[in-house]
Amino acid sequence: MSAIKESFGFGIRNIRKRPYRSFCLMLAAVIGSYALFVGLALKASLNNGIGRMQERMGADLMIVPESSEIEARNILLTGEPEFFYMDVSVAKAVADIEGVECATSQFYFTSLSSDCCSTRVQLIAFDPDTDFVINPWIDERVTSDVAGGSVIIGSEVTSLSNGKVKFYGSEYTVAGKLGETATGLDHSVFMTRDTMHEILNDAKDKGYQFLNPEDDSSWVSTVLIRVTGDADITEVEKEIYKNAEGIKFIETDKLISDVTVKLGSVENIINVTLTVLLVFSFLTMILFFSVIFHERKKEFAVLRILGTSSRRICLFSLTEGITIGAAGGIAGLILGILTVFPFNHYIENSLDVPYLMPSALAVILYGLAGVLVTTIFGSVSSFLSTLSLTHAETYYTMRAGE
Amino acid sequence: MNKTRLTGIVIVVLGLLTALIPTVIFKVCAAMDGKFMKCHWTSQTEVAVGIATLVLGVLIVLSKEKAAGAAYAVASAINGVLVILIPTVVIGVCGSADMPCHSGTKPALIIAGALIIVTALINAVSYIVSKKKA
Amino acid sequence: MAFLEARKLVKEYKRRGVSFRAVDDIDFSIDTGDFVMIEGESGSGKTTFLNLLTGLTEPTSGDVLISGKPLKDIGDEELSKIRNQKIKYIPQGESLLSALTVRENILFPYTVGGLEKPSPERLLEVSDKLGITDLLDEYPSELSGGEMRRATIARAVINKPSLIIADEPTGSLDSANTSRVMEIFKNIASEGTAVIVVTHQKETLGYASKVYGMEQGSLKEAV
Repeated sequence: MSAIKESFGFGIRNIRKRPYRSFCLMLAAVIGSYALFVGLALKASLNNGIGRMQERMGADLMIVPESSEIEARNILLTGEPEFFYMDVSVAKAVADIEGVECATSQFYFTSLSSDCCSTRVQLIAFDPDTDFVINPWIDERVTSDVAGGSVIIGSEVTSLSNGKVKFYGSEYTVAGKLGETATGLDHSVFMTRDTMHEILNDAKDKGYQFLNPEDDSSWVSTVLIRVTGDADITEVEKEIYKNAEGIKFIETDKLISDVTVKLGSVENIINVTLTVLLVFSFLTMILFFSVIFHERKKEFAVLRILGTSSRRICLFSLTEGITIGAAGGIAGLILGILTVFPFNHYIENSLDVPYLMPSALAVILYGLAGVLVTTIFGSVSSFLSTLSLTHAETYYTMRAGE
Repeated sequence: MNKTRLTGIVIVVLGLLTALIPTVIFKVCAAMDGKFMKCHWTSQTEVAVGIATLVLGVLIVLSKEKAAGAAYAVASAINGVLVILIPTVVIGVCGSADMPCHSGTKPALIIAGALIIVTALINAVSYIVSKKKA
Repeated sequence: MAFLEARKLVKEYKRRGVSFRAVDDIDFSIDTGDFVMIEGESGSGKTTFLNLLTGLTEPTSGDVLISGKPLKDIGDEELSKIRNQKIKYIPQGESLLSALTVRENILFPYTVGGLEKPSPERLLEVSDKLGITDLLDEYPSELSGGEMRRATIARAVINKPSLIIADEPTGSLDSANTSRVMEIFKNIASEGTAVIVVTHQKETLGYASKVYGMEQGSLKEAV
């Protein structure tokens, strides 16, 4: 026990006596630990994001106007505000088709960005009676009914300081907030068609017209469909085509597989960067330790002369390696925490794929993995570098080292 | 290189960063529809505070008297507090969590401010400790 | 039985493919209280011989025996213990640990070994004799060559070991300090420690009870 304590003391003395060297070594550990932590946290958030997206895409099929496929995808994936309309008859056309388990229609429009310091958000009117895509994900925090002029906001929509949201000059009570979905829904605000009608009127007064509010009930933006378990989606699509014109289908499965492909390329970039940085960190440590220890050959010879056993010398250098690896690893962890958490939204917005961070605890576990890895890097590289020096024969070089 | 000098250099770098964060690194939005948003004013103020901090850092590096250096350090710590308060309390940034000023500029400024405070306090505390020893 | 004995000791090295004997068939023994000096030109194999005696280098053939026991039969742990407690080797050149102060350097063998630390009085006694008491809390980088040398010697003599082996201990010392060091060796030998000093300063040979000359790996008693 005392041997370990002494080795530690001696190791620390050596580290402190050579601050520049130790700093460079520690920097390598910082890079390794930081890369591993941030890389794993990003990957976990991406997988969590696509998983959540898959889970929360309630519909199998989405009908949109023929020319608006890209806009519809934007709403779903990024929450970029869009609007497009088709005749309400499409909703009716779907109703009796075999294989359709349930269907609901939605109406898309947008808010203004000019209300100081709030971005445009997607406004979505839905039908609470037939809805099967929004209701299941409303968090428990529902304070009042969505009917009667209140709205439900996506998880990333910020409300005013009085807890309300403001569209075209009027304020609306927030009835509830959705849980995170990692989809465009996080940036959307949901309401009944009655509330929509009010907002459309306000918008019209301010000179923004999406549709004539007088006949808004004769239009929808999309019809969302869930098919029965045994139904063939292509067959269902064919049947619907017979009853409606000028429409386009977006299949959720295909949408998700498209996202998965994109995700794959982002993940590849992360993997490659992570591997390169880890290898760099490890090689730098090995290289540095062996150069340093080679330079310190004489010191090891002195230790031998003073009666330090090979085992004890290994312990000395191991403590140096472990201390540097762990200290650098912890510094990398702290840097990683300062990147991943404060810049969560920034990363999410720059990646352009579903991104949802797992719990902070789970993320920090990745950080500890990083610390562990750099500690191992430190001990392995210091150990390997010492090993070549502890063979008795090398001590003959005591004189040559002068 | 002695410790107080080193803290001065770090403060110079952090002051520069404070000025660069809202203008270059995590650039805030330009005026929207001809109106400047909160983030614009935060940005302008942070540039001023950042440059002031930078100057204080230079003074720390140049000061021959340790006491003067420590006084400048305390002043830069106060600047550090300002760096944090400007985007959070005093002026603030734009409301939406997705706007770059909210998701990038604000956290970056908070971290920079915290680092300024820590570095400045290291300088001041080491002065007090050395004073006690002597 | 002698404390330390070398029998038919040979060490061969290869230099540019040609093997040569750095130590060539040496028989040697030393007992407690002996003060032996070995004189020879550089490259005559003195340092190799000392490395063999302390077990830091393994001989090509022949044996080194400590209290009758061959070194090759002693494991690394035990041999380290012997070097830590009984045989103190003062190598050529600087051999202080740069991360430690002079005081910590002198006491270092007790930090790694099992022996009890010498008393502060003993430390002062030795450092006074060597004139380094004022330097105890300095780091080696702040010392002159001669001061480092004397600190190294303090480290070796402080626990009155069975054998002190010194390789050119007075090389970087002025004449006053040289005689100071040689007096210390002489005293410690008279107290029962065996001392081997390698030197090329002929004027110090008078302190020894026995003088050897070394030439091309062979050791011969000087007359």
